[in-house]
Amino acid sequence: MKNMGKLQNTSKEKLVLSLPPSIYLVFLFLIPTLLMVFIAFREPGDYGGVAPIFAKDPDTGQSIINLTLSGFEYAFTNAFIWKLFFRSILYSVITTFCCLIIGYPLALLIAKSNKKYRDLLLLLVIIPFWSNFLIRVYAWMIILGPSSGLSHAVNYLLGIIGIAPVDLLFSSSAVIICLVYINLPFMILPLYANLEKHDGALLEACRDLGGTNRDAFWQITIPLSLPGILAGCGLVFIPCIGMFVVPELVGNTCSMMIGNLIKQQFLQTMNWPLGSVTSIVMTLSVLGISLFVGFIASRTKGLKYARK
Amino acid sequence: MKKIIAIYLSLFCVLAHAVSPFNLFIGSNYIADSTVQGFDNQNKCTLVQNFFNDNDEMLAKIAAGANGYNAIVATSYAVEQLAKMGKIIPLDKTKLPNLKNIDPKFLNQSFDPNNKYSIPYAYNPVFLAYNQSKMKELNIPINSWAAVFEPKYLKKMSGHVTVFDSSRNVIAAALLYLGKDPNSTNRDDLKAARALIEAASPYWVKYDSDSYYRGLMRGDVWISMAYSIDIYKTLQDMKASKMPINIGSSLQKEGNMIEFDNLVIPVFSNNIDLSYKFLNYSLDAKSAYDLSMMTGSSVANIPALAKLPESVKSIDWIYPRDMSKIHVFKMYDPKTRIYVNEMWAEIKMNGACSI
Repeated sequence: MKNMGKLQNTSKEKLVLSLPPSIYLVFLFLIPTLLMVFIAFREPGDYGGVAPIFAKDPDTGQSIINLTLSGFEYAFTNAFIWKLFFRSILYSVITTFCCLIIGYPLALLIAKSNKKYRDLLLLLVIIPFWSNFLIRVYAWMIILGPSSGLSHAVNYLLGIIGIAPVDLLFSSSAVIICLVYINLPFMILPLYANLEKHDGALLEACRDLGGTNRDAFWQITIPLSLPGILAGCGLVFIPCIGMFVVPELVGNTCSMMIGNLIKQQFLQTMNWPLGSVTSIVMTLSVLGISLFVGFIASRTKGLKYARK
Repeated sequence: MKKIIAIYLSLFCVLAHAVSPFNLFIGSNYIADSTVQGFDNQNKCTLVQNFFNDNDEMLAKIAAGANGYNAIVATSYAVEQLAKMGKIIPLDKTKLPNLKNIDPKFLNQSFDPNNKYSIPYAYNPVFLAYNQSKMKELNIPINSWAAVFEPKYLKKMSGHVTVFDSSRNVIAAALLYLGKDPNSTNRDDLKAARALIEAASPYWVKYDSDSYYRGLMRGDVWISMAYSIDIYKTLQDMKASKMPINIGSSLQKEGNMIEFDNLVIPVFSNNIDLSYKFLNYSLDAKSAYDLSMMTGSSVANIPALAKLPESVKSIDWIYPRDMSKIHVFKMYDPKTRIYVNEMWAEIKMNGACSI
């Protein structure tokens, strides 16, 4: 009986504790998402917004319900939207990969460094967050600009091997450079959180059994850090896909992403239904990709071990 | 402890009694500081500027239900659209005695007959600004829209040309270059404009109406579609920082659009009286004079114009000499608006790129 009471108590506690986040999610995530789905099936209004759902047919005078699939039809039959999707996914994959390549050694270095300096090193990773994200992108606009030292150096090197000078700013590569820069801390932090917890005894055991440093890294550190890698990749990949500020600021006419189209539909052209359709397709594809990656990862042994 | 509470209480009282805010929805750098201060002092209020980037963005926000503004600066077609949406009130002219200062040429425009809903604020020509030495070197005819639409010229400046991120402005410029009505809703005209834009867009580096002047200043943009206020400010800044000025500006022989901006009072203004006071204050000769002197906007205020120095009045791209080639945006009907918007999304997002 005593135990039962305790059990009920904890479930009550759970309920009370989980109430605020649940309310938060319902009001700020679930309802807006459902609204978006609903708007996707409506007709665009004459002056922005959506057309009224009950209307009279101008010819017959009968009342009709104004729901349509034309938004989806437009989105699925227009090649340019698919091109934008493909481009967004490509940029995000490249960005995630670059962040992983740069972030992993750094996170490992911090995790392996003397405890005295660890907090300081971690702080250095977080420091860029202290200034606004837009200001940091503007800083890159100066670094990549045609009169910057970097631009001169790159074009000098290209000149030596006989390649015509290139513009660093306003290009797809500028978009990817900025995306990597902005998202790097989101890769490093979960990786560090994971790598820091690794048991050094495992590496020693590996060496005792005749393994080299390389064996230890590929067969122990990497598989054990898979949850960190997955978390980092998710944190970088998902916000990346919907990005619109970076392509607008440092991209050219060829580097627009799906976020730019969505922003344009809501803020400039006032075609809410098409904007909603694009958002839904984006959400679903991100969800699909995440599920697929999660499924693949769940079958690897490292993850199973790490989860134990 | 009591002292602290007292301080907090008095602070709270001061805040509670603080002058009420007057919310103005306006583009950035579009009102003289002296006008803001003068209005604050006269009416014991605080004028708060809320900025928008372009009129379509403003319209989208209002359509989505944004409110809380006491006055809005809206361009020609936006006035018509706000009126159709029922978001602005008809004006009582007896509360606007300063309206007599406005040149009658600028009253009773097609977007708002008899100025039922709006009063003129200022106007801004849209033209081409360029890097003078580059244009001379490459021999580009800067007095024609051909400079940004003809591939034979664009080839020489690929990657250094920007146009506005605004469907209305780019399409109007294309239509003007084709010798058509810039407000045409004829589908064939619009298709011809689209073909022209699509042939030219591979050479454009960006659609940019917010920061193109920085590119001109840095030297990486050689020619761009420009607003008079931005260029006026850029030239002032360059002068102040003693940079050599290499930026030229010119109207185009095919004609130019002006963004004809007006003041309107939204239905949701919580202090209509104060809104009228602001409209009247902005029609005052001194406000208009300061606006033109400080921001380089063109005003239609006769006493203000009389006081303006020749050095400003004679600038052709602020006060065009030949007004017959100057056009004002008209509102599209809903079908055309959706048609043009889809066309613009396709042009802008597709680009002329492999991936």
